[in-house]
Amino acid sequence: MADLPELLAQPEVQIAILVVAATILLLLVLRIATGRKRGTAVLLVGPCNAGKTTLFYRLKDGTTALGTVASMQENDGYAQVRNDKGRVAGQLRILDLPGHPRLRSKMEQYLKDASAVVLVIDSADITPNKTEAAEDLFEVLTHPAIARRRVPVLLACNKADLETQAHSVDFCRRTIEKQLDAMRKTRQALGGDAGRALSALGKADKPLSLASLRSPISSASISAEKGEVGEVVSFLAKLL
Amino acid sequence: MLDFVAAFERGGAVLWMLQFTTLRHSPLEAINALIRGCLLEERLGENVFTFVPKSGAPQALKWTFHNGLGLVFVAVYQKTLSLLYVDELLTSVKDEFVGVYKPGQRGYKQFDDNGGATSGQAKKGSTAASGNGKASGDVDADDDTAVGRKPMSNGAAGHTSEGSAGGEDGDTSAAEDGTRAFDVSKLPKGVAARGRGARGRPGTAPTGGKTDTSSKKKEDTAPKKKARNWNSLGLPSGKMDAPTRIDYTEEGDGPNGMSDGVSASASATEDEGVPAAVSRMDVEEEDYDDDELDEEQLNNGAAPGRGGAAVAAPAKKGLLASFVSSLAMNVVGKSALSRTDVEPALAEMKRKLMERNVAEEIAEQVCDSVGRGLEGQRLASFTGVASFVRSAFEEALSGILNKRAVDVLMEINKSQVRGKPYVIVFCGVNGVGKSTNLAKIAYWLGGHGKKVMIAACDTFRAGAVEQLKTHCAKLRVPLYERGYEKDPAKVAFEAIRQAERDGQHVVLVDTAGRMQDNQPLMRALSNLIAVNNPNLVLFVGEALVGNDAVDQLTKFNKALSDLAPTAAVAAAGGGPSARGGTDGAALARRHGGVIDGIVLTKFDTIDDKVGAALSMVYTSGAPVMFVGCGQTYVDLKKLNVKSVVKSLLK
Repeated sequence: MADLPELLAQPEVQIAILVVAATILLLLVLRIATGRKRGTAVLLVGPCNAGKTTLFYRLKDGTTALGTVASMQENDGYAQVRNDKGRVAGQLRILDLPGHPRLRSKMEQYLKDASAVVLVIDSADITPNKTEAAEDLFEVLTHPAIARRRVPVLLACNKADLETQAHSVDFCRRTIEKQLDAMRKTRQALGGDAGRALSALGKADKPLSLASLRSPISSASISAEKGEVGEVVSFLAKLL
Repeated sequence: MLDFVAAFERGGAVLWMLQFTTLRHSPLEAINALIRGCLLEERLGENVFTFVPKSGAPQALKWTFHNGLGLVFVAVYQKTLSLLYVDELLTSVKDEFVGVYKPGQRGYKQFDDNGGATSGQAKKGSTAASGNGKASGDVDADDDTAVGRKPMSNGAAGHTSEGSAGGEDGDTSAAEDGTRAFDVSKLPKGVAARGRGARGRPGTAPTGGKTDTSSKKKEDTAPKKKARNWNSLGLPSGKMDAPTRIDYTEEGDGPNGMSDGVSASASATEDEGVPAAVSRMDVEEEDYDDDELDEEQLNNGAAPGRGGAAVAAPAKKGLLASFVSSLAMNVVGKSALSRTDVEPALAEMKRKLMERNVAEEIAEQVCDSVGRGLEGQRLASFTGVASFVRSAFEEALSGILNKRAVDVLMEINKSQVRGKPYVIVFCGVNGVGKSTNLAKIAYWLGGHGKKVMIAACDTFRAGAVEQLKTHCAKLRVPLYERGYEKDPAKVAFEAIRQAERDGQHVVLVDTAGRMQDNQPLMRALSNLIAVNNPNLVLFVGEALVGNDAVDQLTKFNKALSDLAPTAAVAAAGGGPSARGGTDGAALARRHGGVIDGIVLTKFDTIDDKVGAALSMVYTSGAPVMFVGCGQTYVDLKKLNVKSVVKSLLK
């Protein structure tokens, strides 16, 4: 049996140790790098009939053609993003997820590599749909990957063209905020949400405020039907 | 009369739509109702869907899929008319449309031209063909296909017009708007309208008056008839034979040249035919076994070991040739799945589901629905049929089980604001654990600061009231009871009044267990619900139940809505506000039954036989809201959809 120092003195052993150390270091670096990796796609989520697919085609093709019906599967495509000067700054992958409650289970898997989330809500019809919209936002914000990476979220209040019926962005935001707060309490009560990052919604004893959450949440008033989606585009441009 | 025909992508983009009548509502509304009410509910077994617009007569919708391209074709007509040609119209529109479809393209104006060609006017056909060629870019290739296709669909259209002309002469004449002087049936009329639109657009054809068109039409019908007959013999037989012909090729004696008609299936047969030079039967089985094995390998996390596994399995059987072909299929990927390909995998899935205690009826329906969804889809490289089917099942099952449950606490908060108690009624057959789970829910609600009151409306079974008394004493919850031999509806009514006076937040109403066939008792229950108008009706069912789950739920739902006193039904159906909170009402309306939710009990006793959850949710359309999984007050859980799906497919 050779002594340990003697063994260490041999060049082969030294090289071996070096290689092992280098591999571990490399793995660690890779781990951290992938952990911080931004996602690859911008998700369009929200309740049924909010205008996700219309917004998707508006961003992708710039037209909505014959209109849309309820989606049965997700739409996937690339959108050219122009900066404020109108030049193409790059392109982003956009995923439009169906809003029907039956298909919501798909959201979970896509959230893993989301680079940003656009929650599309119908500002004319916010009151009856606030539960669903807030549930979607709840699911987004408490997803572990979203909470960890601080994925930006845009609250896009669609159908602003229905001027008299559409509620203001501020109202929509407050409604969702309130609903989310109520939901947080009841969800914690049921206790079935294993693996959810409830801490992402702030401290439980304070009223929830969207502005103080880990993920930056901005809001915008848009009209996918009429093509007024400038705020979404500038939101996307910031991601590039 | 046909209202409109449309083609749209599964993603939701409408690609092409042709409207024949003016509707008071947007035509997309009917399609949305179809998607939400039928296509997404995995209820593809039915083939007609009825949509009742807010104003106007109910409409019937028929649809067909092209799964390979992810397209859906829908035809809408008035429900009172029974149009016989709709199915064939859809198939011919589908065949035509697939020819011009390009992924990513969204306007199909030129398809109107193409559709005009279907009307069979030879003169117009040539202009439309060139228009079609122009639009799709490659003139010579497309011309050929267009010419090849056109007489065929002429045949279909003509054939149908003949078929339906006799049956529909009566209402045709009644509904005829006089401006068009056709004596043919509606389909050619509709299609002719298309032709007219087509002609107007390119401006090449003379824009003659209507008489001109109609006279031309009449001229044409005579010589067309023969051509039609000839073709109509050719086309439907070609279609009908498509699956069987695949079988011929599989056995190695089907000439590929014969399949000149349906190009998609022809290419499929060719693709299958080439590698499967040996016996197709063997290949099929081999392929399937192979996949199972591979799947196991994959499950063990040995994805790279796949090749090795594939080598090992057939080598054992000593069929090198079949191995080569199955490997070729697995590696290259199959062009399009046919029903025969997925059939063994579906049967296996059905067996698996039934082993997990899913009611046979439901397993059958789900398998059928998934099978329909798979037909024509493309198999990716390195995927076996079995694992492909499995992932489709995973998606379908979690879709079925993922229902938006009522957030009870939130609803209670809402009615608390209004100062009304939130009323929950528990019903179910005997001995499933209604009282036990009611006590558990009372405990859970009490734990979240709600003041709960229990109403003992089981005035029938000996000891029922005493049982609740014991629970109430333990939970420190007030009990409202009026002993036995009382009308339960009245007891519940008085209990709710009492609770309102006392400022209770929630009233839990326990009812007597009853078999679903016992009509007097079911009537009593529906009376209780009608009189008291509870915010939430929970059906308590045990997870041990097998085939009976379907019967129980359908009969409960039916009895509760049918047997209710008429005045109460009018009240419940009249205003949404009659049923508690607005959200709850919307939810109750959404799945069209009285039962709002399911409490699944004895979940701890069934191990992996979790099928009852699927049966119940599929039958009633209501979500599983609570799962009872033990004897103590704390044993109440939410349904974990993921783990249920996992154990269903394990």
